[in-house]
Amino acid sequence: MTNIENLDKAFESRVRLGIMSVLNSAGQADFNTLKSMLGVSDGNLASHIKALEKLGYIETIKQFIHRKPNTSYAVTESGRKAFSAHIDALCSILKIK
Amino acid sequence: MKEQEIRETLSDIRNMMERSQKVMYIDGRSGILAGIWALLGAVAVSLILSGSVCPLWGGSFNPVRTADAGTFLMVAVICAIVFAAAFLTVWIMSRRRARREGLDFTLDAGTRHMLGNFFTVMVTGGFLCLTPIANGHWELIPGYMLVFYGLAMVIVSPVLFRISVSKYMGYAQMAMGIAALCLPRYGMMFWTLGFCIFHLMWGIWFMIFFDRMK
Repeated sequence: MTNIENLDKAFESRVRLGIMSVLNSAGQADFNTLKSMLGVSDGNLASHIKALEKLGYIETIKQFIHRKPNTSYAVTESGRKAFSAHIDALCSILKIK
Repeated sequence: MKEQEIRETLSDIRNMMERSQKVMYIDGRSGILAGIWALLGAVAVSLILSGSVCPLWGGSFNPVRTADAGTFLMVAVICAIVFAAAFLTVWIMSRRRARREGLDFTLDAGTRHMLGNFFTVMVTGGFLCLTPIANGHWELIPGYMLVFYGLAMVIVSPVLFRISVSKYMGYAQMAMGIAALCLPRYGMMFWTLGFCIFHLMWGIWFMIFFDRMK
C-alpha cells in the first residue's frame, strides 16, 4: 500500500479538495462563488484558503470590477501539479488505469 | 482510507469540477470533428492548388497559382468555412453538453476575457496571412496559421479544462508552424498534421480522460 504515501496531506479536508477542484476547472473564482459552490461559512472558507495559499497551491488576485474591489483566487502551477498527483494517487489505489 | 470513501471523494471532485465548468465544458467529440473539418479543408485546398487529393506532399502552395485572384479568393473562402465550422462545432457541442447535464452556459467575465485574448491573437495571425498579397510569399501561410493558432491555444489554456494538455497542444502547433516556415515546400503537410491529426488526438484523449474520471 505504498500508494497511500502519495496522497497529499493538504487535501485531506473536503473543503480544500473542493477549492482545488473548482479552481482547477474554472481557472479562477472569487470568494462568493467558492462559498456558494462549496456551501461553507465565510470563516471556514477563509481559513482553508489561507492554508492553501501558505502552501503555495493557490494565489490571490485583487482587482477592481466597476470600481468595486474584488478578490479572486487562482490555482498555481505547483498547486495544479499537487492536485493532479493527488487524483492519480487516489486512482491508483483503486487500480484504475 | 477505505475504497468506498475514495470512490466518493473522486465522484465529489468530478461533480465539483463539472459544476464550475460553464462554457468550457468541451466535448471530446468536437475536437475530433474539428480535425475532420480541417482534413476536408486541406484536401479541398490541395485540389485547387496542385490538382492532387492528397495534401501531405510538397508543392501544394504553388506561388504562381495562389497569386491568381480567383484562386486566392477560393482558398480564403475555404479557410473561413473551415474555421467557422470548427468554432461553431465546439460552441454548439459544448452548449448541448452543458444543457444535457443541467449546467449553466453563460459567458461570465472570465470566459469573455478568454475569448477576447483568443481572437486578438487569431485576428493578428489572420492579417499576417494577408501579407503575401504584397510580398508574394504564399508558401508561408500554413506556418503563420499554425504558429498563431498555437499561441492562441497557449494563451487561453489557463482557463481551459485540463489546462496542461491544451498548453502542450499549443506548443505542438507552434512547433509544426516553425517547421512549416523552415520547410515551406511541406507547409501543407505540417498544416494537416497540426490542425487535423493533433485535434483528433486531443479529442480522443479528452474522451478517455472523462471516462476515467467516471
